[in-house]
Amino acid sequence: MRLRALAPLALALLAGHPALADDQLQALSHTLDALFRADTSQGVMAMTVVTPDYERTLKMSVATRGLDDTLVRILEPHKERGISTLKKGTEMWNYLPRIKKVMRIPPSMMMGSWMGSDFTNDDLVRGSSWEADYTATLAPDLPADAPCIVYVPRPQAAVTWSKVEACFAGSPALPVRLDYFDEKGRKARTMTFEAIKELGGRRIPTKTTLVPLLKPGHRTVMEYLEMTYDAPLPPNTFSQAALRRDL
Amino acid sequence: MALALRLGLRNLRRRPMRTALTAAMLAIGTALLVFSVGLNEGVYASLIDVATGTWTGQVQIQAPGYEESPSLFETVNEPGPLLAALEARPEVVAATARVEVAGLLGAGARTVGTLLQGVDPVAEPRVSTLPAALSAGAWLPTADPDARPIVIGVGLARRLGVGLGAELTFMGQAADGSVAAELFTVGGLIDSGSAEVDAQLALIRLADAQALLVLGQRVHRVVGRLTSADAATPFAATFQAPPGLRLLPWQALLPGLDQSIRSDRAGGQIFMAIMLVVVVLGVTNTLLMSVFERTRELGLMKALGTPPRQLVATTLWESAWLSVASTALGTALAVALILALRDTGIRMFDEPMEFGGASMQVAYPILAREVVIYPLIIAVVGTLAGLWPAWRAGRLDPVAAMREG
Repeated sequence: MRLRALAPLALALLAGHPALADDQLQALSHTLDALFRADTSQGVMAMTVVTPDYERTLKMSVATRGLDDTLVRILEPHKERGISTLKKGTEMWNYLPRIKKVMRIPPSMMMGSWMGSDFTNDDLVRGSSWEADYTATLAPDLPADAPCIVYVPRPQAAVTWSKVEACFAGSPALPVRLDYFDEKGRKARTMTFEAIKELGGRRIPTKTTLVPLLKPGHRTVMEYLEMTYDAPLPPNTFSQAALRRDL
Repeated sequence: MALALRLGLRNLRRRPMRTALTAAMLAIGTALLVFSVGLNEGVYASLIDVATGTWTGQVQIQAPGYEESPSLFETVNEPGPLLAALEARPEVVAATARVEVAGLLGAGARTVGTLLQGVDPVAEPRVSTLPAALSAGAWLPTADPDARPIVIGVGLARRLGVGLGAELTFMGQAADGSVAAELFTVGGLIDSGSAEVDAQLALIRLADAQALLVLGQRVHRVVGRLTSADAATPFAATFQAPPGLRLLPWQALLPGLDQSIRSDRAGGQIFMAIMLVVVVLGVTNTLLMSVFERTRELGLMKALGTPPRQLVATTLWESAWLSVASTALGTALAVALILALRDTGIRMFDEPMEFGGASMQVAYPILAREVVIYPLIIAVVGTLAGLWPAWRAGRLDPVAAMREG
């Protein structure tokens, strides 16, 4: 009787903790999804773009609401102050204060560079979720405190990558590196996370470095300088009028 | 020798019908081949002329790798002296510099991705024919530093839903990494006849482009118009591009066009090979018949002491007469036809055919080098076709031959 009761547990042990592995996967994917997201967020970022031909740093204000709405406005350098990007759902507009014009970004330009960085417009627009859009598997033979997850997009998900590998460290676990593989299976870009700090009441990596591996000499570093989470935003923060408003 | 030559001719005249038929086949075949080669070469030449003359030019000077993957930063840094050096050469009709940048062009709620090109308002019309394809408005003005004019293709105007006088917004990236944004006013529309070109074309003044993109004096392409497309390859071999730059002939700039012409020409050579087989069979057949017919006569000649060498010569002269005279006739016919149609041309397609940004409808046959070479090959191969019958005639056994006959 006692033996029979223990049998399922023994089976579970033999199968390598499937229940435990699933929990861990889910928890890590959730961490990744929730890392920079909130009901609302507001902050200031510095973006440094390094190329073989120039290096420049932009300071910008960022406001987000959920996954759908984002407003980014350049604060510095002075020459480009006020250049803004509004994203609502899958649509995107740029505002150019010097000529006082709003330009909609057409779908064909979504893979184009955003503000001359190594991020694409698509990176900004995409509201993809690691939990919902990818099938996750734990990479084998890694220590429990430094796990890696292999994400393969679900067939119906509109994802540009064929595979993404995410590695975590620490306790509670935070991402340290994401490797993106293109449709040819080449490792196309690497995103690393560092400088873990308490910002706006959250412990997050405050420095993200994106290296496009197929473009030697290029690198974009994004640093969070100030961050406030879940504070109420003024109405119409994500509107065409806000996009055009003077800074 | 003279005797063999006369005998050869006499033998052909003995069977006028058979000779005439073979000759006609050879002549018509040659004429067909020569004319179609002339027509093809004419089509190739005008395709090349149109494709290079419209925009590409016959030669370009660029930074290495620019053609394969254009980048804002791969530039010709001092175009001035280079333009002067190009124009100093007799083969160069005119030269100009261009700047290119990919970006967004918007009007109202519509935005399209496009390649904005900065061109010299004065030099460009001397190099390419696209500025002359203006269908409305005016070409880029030289003066007026306050206005920022843009000339766009009719297809692009349709995509943006704009006409003359409309304001267009450009957004792209400048060479210092900053955001390049500017307003332009549509001053002219270009209808090149190629939908592909017209849907993309956006031209602004070179100086405006260099200021917008923070390029200084730098340009992306230096484009040369030569006296002819044929001059491109020898020019590329003799013109020393400045260090760090390279000169590309049109074949490297329009590889698709060059490749199509090469493969089309190779197809023509298959036609030529088939033609040669027919010639060989025709001539061999005629001469073999002639030799069989005269077995008795040849046997007698041999018995009377005619050396085999002379019998061989007689038969070879027979094939030579036949081949040379017929191909000459055929060539003359084809050349006359080519000359007659050289200027009026032949309407090849009901609709203009688009080809690498160039369109054509009427083909103008030309007297290409091949027009001379192919008949020569046919004549020589036709003459050599007499070898086997000649060899047969030469080694006839006189006794058996006379008995048989």
